[in-house]
Amino acid sequence: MNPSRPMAPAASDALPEQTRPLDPEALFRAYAPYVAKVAHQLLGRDDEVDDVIQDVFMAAVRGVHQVRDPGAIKGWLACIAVRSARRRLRFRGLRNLFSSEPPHEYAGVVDPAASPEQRALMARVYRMLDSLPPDDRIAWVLRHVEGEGLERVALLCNCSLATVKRRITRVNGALQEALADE
Amino acid sequence: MNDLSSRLAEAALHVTPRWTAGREQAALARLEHGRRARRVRLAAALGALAAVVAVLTVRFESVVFLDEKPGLAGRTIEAPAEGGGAAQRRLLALEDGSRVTTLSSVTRAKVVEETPNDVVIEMSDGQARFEVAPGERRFKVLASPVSVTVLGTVFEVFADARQVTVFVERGRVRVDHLRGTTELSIGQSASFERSASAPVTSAEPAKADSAPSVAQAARSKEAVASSLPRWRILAEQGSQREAYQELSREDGWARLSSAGDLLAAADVARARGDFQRASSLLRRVVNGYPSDARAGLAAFTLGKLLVDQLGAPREAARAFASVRTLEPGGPLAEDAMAREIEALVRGGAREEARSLARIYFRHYPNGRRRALVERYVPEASLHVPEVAPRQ
Repeated sequence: MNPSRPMAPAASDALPEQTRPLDPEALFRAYAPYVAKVAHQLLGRDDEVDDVIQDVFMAAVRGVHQVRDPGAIKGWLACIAVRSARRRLRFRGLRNLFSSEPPHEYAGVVDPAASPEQRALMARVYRMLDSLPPDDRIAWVLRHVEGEGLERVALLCNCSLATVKRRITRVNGALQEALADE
Repeated sequence: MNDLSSRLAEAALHVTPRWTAGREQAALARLEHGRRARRVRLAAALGALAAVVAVLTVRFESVVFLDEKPGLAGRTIEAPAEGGGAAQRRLLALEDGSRVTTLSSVTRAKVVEETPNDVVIEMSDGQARFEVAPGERRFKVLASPVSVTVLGTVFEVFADARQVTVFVERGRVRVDHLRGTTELSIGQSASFERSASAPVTSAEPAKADSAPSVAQAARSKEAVASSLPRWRILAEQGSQREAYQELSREDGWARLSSAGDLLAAADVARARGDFQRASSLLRRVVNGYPSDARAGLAAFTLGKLLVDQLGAPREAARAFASVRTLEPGGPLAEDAMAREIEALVRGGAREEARSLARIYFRHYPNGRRRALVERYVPEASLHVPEVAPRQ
């Protein structure tokens, strides 16, 4: 764990048993760091993370009573976060089509503990990801940045395992091409 | 590539948000705010929905559609059981938009004919209001032996064993009776004995603005149009909205200078839901033209407006009382007294209502409005000896 991070993302295991009846505040405190991390990784920008958190927990508060297995809450929240991030990425793509603004630099995508090389590498990666379809980007980020297994990525992306593999392969190919000079 | 992969994997560990306790607190506060805002929006939406339902309920609780299908011939409309109150008036809606509403607890009306050219309604007893949609179809109400023929108007018919009284609220009607024909225009009323079928009392307007008589009706439409102000022509054609706009232009309301114009303008204002203005116009008739034949009708209408629309029962009681002063023994006297009793009760003046109810039962021991008075002051009838009516 990186010591510079003030708070570590919580796992579902961290949720105390007595909060499982799901008091909204307890739910938020237990899972907000995790949702923030997923949102940050998918979007690459910190300025939209709070909006995703808002989306996720507004939906969670409305629907949490339907969750029968408290152990499934984390995955369920991740699914909502992925959907929210996908909407934002699609909107971002549309906005970029009609915008004359320069591409985002992604200088803040990594934490301050990262080395300058790591900062530059991840900034290049995220700039390249901006040129790819949001679904491909999401699958690759969940697999290689968040470190999820392929089956879980398929679950979070709501698609088949084969589709996930194809998406990740496409992104890997694009990355090899873009980062050939690395 | 392997080197790149491992470098990517290492760098990916640093892709984390700057998640601090302060940021968590701010996000939580924002979430709470969002939830509150959502609750407020939900409450507002529910409130709006409840308001719509309430309005629809108030509007339609009094309505019983006896038959929504075309072709109502043979259907009857009967008033609800006593004790229902005004809110349980019954309504018969015809397919052309015409409406018949019962106004008393003894009303019985029956559609005896409904064709593309004619609607004939037979009314044996009670009181009903007829709102006839403008059109080519002839609309006739039979309160034997009187028949009322109309084309695009609103009028009320009172029928009891002795006489039939017709009040025209809007437009024009022709009343056929055994002794001839009488035309009634806006604001006019007339009563006809059922045995002789001749007008026994009538509230004819002043000559200056009288409705067209039979002879006058023979004049061309253009001639009639030229003798009336534009807003009045519009009102008689049923274009109340345009008439209202015309009157509002350059403050036409203030320039009304005859009882007929004031009554017609009050009718326009009522039709547009401007009850305050209507009551003001009616007051001008009552106070400014007390000797006019329609002053009693104006006072009665004012009372109805005040109690039914403006929620001012004490003022309404005074208006109904003035009907008895303006038209002692007139066709509206009994109704005015009964409505005055109702208004007094609704205004909290129960003792005054009780005294007046005793007077009512002495004057009208078999009155048409007895049920209404008994409903509001049930104890009054117990103390009144059965005496002959003193009419």
